Amino acid sequence: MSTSSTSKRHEILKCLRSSSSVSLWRLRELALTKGGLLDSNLRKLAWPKLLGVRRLDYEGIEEDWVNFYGLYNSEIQRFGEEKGVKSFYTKTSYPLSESTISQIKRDVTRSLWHFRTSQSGEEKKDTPSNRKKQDQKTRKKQTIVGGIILDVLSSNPSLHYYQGFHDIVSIFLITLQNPELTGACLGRVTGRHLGDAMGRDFGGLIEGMMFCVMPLIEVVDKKIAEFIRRSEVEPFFLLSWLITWFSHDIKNLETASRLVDAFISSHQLLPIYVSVALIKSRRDVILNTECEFAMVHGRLSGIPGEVGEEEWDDILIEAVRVMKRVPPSGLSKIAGGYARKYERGKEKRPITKILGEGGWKEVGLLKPPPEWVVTSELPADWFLLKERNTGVKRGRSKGARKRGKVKLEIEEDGGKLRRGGFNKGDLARSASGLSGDKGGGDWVGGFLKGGGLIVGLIAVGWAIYYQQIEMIGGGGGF
Amino acid sequence: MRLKVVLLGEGRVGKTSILFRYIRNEFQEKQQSTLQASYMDKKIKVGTTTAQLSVWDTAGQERFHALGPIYYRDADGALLVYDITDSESFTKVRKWVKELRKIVGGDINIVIAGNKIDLERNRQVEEKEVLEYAKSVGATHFYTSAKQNLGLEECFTDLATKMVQQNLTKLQGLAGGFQPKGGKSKLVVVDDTGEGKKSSGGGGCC
Repeated sequence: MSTSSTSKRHEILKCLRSSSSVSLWRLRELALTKGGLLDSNLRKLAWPKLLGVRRLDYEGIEEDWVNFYGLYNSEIQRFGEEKGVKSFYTKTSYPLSESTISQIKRDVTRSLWHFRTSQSGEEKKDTPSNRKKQDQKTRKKQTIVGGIILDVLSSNPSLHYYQGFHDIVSIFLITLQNPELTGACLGRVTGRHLGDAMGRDFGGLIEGMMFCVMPLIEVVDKKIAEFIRRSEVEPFFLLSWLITWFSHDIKNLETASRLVDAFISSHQLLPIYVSVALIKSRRDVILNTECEFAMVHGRLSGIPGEVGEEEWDDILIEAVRVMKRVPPSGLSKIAGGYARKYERGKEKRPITKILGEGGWKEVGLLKPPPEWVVTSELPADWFLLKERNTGVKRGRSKGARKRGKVKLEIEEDGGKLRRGGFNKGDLARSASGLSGDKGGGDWVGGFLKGGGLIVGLIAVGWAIYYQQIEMIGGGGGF
Repeated sequence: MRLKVVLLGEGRVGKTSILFRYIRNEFQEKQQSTLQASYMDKKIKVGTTTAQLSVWDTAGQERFHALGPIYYRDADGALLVYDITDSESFTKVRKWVKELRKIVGGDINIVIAGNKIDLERNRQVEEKEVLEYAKSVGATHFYTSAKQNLGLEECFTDLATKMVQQNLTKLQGLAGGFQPKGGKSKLVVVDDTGEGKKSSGGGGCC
């Protein structure tokens, strides 16, 4: 499909606007491979597609944060006061408690890192006037982030705020540059992907972690698993990785967005598989740590911050490789095996308990992926088609130019994929959790290779079976 | 001697700021929210004993409390922090005391810190109430300000002294062939809020 001179950026644009429909499996493949969707200009176009959100027609107003909200302008300015906060959110069907609102406000005003990295990745000179401008800009963005969080929460009573959600919202807003589009996209990820984190408490999320993490580590590396057990460190150290999609720990907007590319293209369990791949990648340093709770805890929780931008590409592929080997449908089996081996005769038997009480079936992370993860195609955006017809060229963002990612060769990527055991087009399907070498997902995987229509039918059937259809909103998704 | 201290308290009372000020003498006006438990070490001298303090910082939001026991179960001491300008945060201190006594027992040394004393003018928590409460649960109370570096040395020194003494007593007891079994009776938990005893995993007060 691609020649050696075709840049990845061209491939992404081609996928988005070469015909009246966008092949989502192709787009997911591009999102998962080297560099992901490359820069915010492309992400802005691709994320809504991946999430099955119909893009609003907002061209032209993206730079103007405050005027976008027009009438809300004065309220935004008063966000610092309680009244300002309330008047910001537009859907008041489920009013939030005062304590939740004040928690959100504190978290948002304390979070800075996303906002300090400018979108182009360029640092402005640190002069007093620049600093003042930057502070003003930061405050405005924080205000809007706060407003979006309130909107998302107040429109769905089953969603509860957790510290860390503001990190995810910030990344979406800074990338998409549009509060309403951000809200719509968050409506998708707060379903299966972040649903457990946003439950009444972390109960479901913790069950999901206990159920998957150690059994998966045992599968990929028995020695590391044994070492962690001996140190008495429990999987809780990676909670912040899961609830912020690693962004809280890496504090780098570019890398955080690149990870979002992958996570919105995949089964909601991918962050757990990525955690396992991360741990495996640091095998030697881990095993050379003193086997004591504090030391091992510190060593493990520090990993995401040490991983370089490009190393994440390998980590992601390794994670999908593990998912292909042990697909989500095969997890209960390995968890059961793990519990029989290591929880026997123990006082605390979390996995045995979760399995015995069937609690894992209620955990969102362990359910089938949402429909938008397995949808095969969506109509292309009309303005992109028009652009193509009139020959509009979309420029690379300053950041991407600066990083020198001028040519990202698909072929080069392909080599890495083949080494990872993937055929072309195989990566995205494996990441959706529906294909694998063994386990219940196998037959689905076989069918999936058959083509788009079958994929769609199976996906819908799967969802209906579990009665968990999440409608593609905005109308006309299919 | 290695001693473990855990910082507990509601979100935004200043746990992380206390830790950074005490150990690194750094202060950030906009300290990010803590989502991940982590620790820092510091050597401290109590009399002739040098102790290595491992101070663990934890997340404050209620829903993270289910993870608490892993970090405090084998702690020698706890520093419970509240914000003097936020009465709700002091209510949380009472909850922590009850939970610690219930799960760790009477052995854990507790110090309560009323942080942000630089904001005295906005005080919401009454001094009399705090001091009486601290006394009733066998805890020492200090006022601190991570921002202005007030009271932190005193606070940690007091906690370290208690922990070192307790450890030395235990060691002497062992040397004398005396095993202090279940010595958890010297402190009485005052159940003053009249709440039922919720399981620690339940979470969610709001």
